[in-house]
Amino acid sequence: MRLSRNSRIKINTVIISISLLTWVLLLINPGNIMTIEHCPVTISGPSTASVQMLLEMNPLSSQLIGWGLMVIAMMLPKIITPIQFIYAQSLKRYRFRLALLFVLGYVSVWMIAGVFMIGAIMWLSLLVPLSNTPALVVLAVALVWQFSPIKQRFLNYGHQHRVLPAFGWEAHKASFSFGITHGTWCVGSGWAMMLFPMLLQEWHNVAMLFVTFLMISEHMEHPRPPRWHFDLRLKLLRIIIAQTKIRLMKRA
Amino acid sequence: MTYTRKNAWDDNNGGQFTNTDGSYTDLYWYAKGVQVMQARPISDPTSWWFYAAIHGQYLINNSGSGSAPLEYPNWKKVEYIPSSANLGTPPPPKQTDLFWDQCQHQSWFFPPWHRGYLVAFENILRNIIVEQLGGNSEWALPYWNYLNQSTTYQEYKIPTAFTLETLPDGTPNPLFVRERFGPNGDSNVYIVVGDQQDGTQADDECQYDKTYTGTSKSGGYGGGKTGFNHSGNFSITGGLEMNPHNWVHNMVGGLNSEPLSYSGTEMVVQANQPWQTTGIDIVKDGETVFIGISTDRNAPTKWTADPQDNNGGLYDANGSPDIIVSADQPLYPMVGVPMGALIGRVGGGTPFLIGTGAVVPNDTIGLLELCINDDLTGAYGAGLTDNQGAITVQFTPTPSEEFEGLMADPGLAGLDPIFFLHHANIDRMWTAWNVTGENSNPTSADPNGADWLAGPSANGNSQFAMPVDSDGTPWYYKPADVQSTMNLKYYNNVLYSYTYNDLSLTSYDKQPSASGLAKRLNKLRGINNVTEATVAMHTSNELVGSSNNSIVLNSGATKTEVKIDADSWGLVANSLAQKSIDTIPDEVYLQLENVTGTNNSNFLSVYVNNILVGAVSLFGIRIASMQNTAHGGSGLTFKFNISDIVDDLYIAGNIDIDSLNVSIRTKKPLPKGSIITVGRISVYRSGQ
Repeated sequence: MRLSRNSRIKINTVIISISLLTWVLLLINPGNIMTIEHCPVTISGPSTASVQMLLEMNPLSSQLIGWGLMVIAMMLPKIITPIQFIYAQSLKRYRFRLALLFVLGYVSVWMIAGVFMIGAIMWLSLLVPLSNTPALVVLAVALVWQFSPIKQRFLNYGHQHRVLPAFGWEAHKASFSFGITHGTWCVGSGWAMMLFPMLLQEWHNVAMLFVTFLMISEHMEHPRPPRWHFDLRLKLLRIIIAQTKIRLMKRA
Repeated sequence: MTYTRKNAWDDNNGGQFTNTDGSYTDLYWYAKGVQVMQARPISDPTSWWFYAAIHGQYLINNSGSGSAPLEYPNWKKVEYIPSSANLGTPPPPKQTDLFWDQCQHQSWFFPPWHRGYLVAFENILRNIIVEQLGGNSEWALPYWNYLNQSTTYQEYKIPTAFTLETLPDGTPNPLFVRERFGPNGDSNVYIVVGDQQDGTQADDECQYDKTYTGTSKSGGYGGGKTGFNHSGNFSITGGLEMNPHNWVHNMVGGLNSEPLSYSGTEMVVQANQPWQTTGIDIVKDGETVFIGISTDRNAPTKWTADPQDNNGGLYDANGSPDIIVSADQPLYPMVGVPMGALIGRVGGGTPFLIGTGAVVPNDTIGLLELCINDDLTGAYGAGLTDNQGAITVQFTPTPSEEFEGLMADPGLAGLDPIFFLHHANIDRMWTAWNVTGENSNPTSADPNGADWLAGPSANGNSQFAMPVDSDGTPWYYKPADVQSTMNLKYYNNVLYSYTYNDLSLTSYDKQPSASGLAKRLNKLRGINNVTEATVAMHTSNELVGSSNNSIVLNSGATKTEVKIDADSWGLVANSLAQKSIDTIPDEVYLQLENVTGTNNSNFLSVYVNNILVGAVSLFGIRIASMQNTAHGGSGLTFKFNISDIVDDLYIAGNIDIDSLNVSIRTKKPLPKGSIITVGRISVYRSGQ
């Protein structure tokens, strides 16, 4: 049964507020958590010493915090629908903690992916320091991935809202594992797009905003058969344009 | 010019091709026009096959139906489609992406999308009829009003013109479709009207609904708001779409049940007699037989094995609600099952439980016998002598393969020419609801009304598009363009008007069924002084109970227990205890969530504590269960208001419950190998 309008608005408001606050934090960038500082690399390429130096300048823990904040800022609006779904499917007293378990499962997957992605970023910044080439290469990969049937498959899986058990341990376990599977499909569809802004030397934040918009948008599209499809899936943009038109016409 | 759509029975000489004066009827010109459209290959956007695919298709791996199945219902396996359709050369993806698989179901766009579909189709046909065939220039699509209570014609039957194999000119009649099996699977096509015990009759009660837009609690007339997300949990089916629309699709399409000599035969099993023969010989590994309970309202379907039990009340074939035969009474035919349940045996072998429906095991041979599960020999008391009542059973062969009629599946339905007469009737009902019923479609003043008027593109989805010529020139339309049949905005903004020669609000249900808050309050208070009360806007919907697991349905009845959460249920009980107009009692809903499967043509009847709460048609379940469709594979979700049953529990002082007994009964046996799964059965309260 659908949630009441009020409950839906509350969920939307809380999630979007958290996301916006995190965005503000990221844009202020306290302690440079979102930027990898570079060390000089010898002509022989990355060495153990340079890796060590890079890690000292950018401890993995602080990079993971930065990554986590980025995931929260960018991904939370994407999981409004599954959280509404969990609220509708659960006993009232369980709702909040089941939603929290879902988010925990979901973010965990992105954090695990983050370890690999940060590793890749560090390796690339040692290999070709201060260059936009890796970003361009990843952008090309992201575009191919974007139009591929496999990405569509991941997006389709993201629409699977399994039926959740209502009671006890089973309910909790199911919400957590729903978070993990939903996170897996999200990483599967969006990994390349997430990597791209991380590799940019400049315009990092703008790219992140653009990618967020794209990712929210593509998750709003209906599932469709997996095949090569040259489409950026800009449903959110279409909705914004259509709703603006409707409001302007009403005013006129 | 205003075209008039007329009754396929009354205004076509009783559903015929010729009038009494020898002239041709609208049905004849329809058939001739269909013939021309069917002669065109599928690559032509004005061909019959292309137009059917606009509704839905199983031919190409396209948006909507996902991967086309390799076997039936793949269009290449449909006998009705001739080789001249040239299915091997479909239109280019540009056209299939724009036009195919558009049908709007479980959505508030159901009425306007289908109206535009029929208008475009009617215009193509009229062009053919007038320009190519020299027919009537005022021709309009006839409608089949299966709910019409005419005393001249039996209009619940499919018009005669659809049952003839040839036209008056001797050519094959394109209106005749073999893959149209009817409610009993025997190709006798009619609509079941009039009360059925399992609630599966078609009716037009929806016409009394006063609001178009559905809410979380009711489907409304036209369906719930369809936003960007359209999976089973977010979509709400309107009353018009549910019944009669879905019902009629299933009853016409049906499932080919390979009729045997005993198909549909009935037998009365007496409570006071031991084993009674059915006359049916079961052949080892042969055709399977399904035993169900007769749905004829006049047939006896209650009995008792002990008048002292159940407060002297008779019960159904599931047997006593209180007594399970214990193992220390081995002279009962079956122990561990309810006393008084309907049971059977083959060749005098081990008895099996039938209850309200079961497939007869065919691993042994012999005569099929039935009886009541009771002390048959009087070993423990009065035996059969004090038994009362009888149960009427029905025998149906279980199909050996899944073979549904075209009309039962949205991916095939547009292939059957009766589709357009059925939808003309649905469109007629919508017109009457607006005109005679004085109801209103959503307007820009309503919350979300602007979204309805603007159509799916308001939420980022594709707009409606119909090809108007063989080049595939699209007519794009939105609900605002087609909200009235007069001056409807057709292609190039040309105004187009049509009407119906019968705009009665209802044809069958002459008064709305009594319901509402006043009735509830009077019942709960045991008085009769509340005369008018409207349901207040409840603010909260909350889960109060749920089944533990998903449920795989059997042929016939499947019982399960829905556990109730004590804390949440306390709120329901409190609200009932207060029962004033200021503190409106909670409404309670039972929901079947994520019902998936492939058996479109079946119906499910749902019982709570042995009381029927409603029935649903599974039309569209195959497509809704496919992963790559707008539903995301989540299947269909159905909701039933069970407040009345909860009120009765409260009045009887039994409101403190820890579970509800839910029984789901398939109207027809499941085809072999077909599985229907209910993801979860849940109970919700809607209250303050």
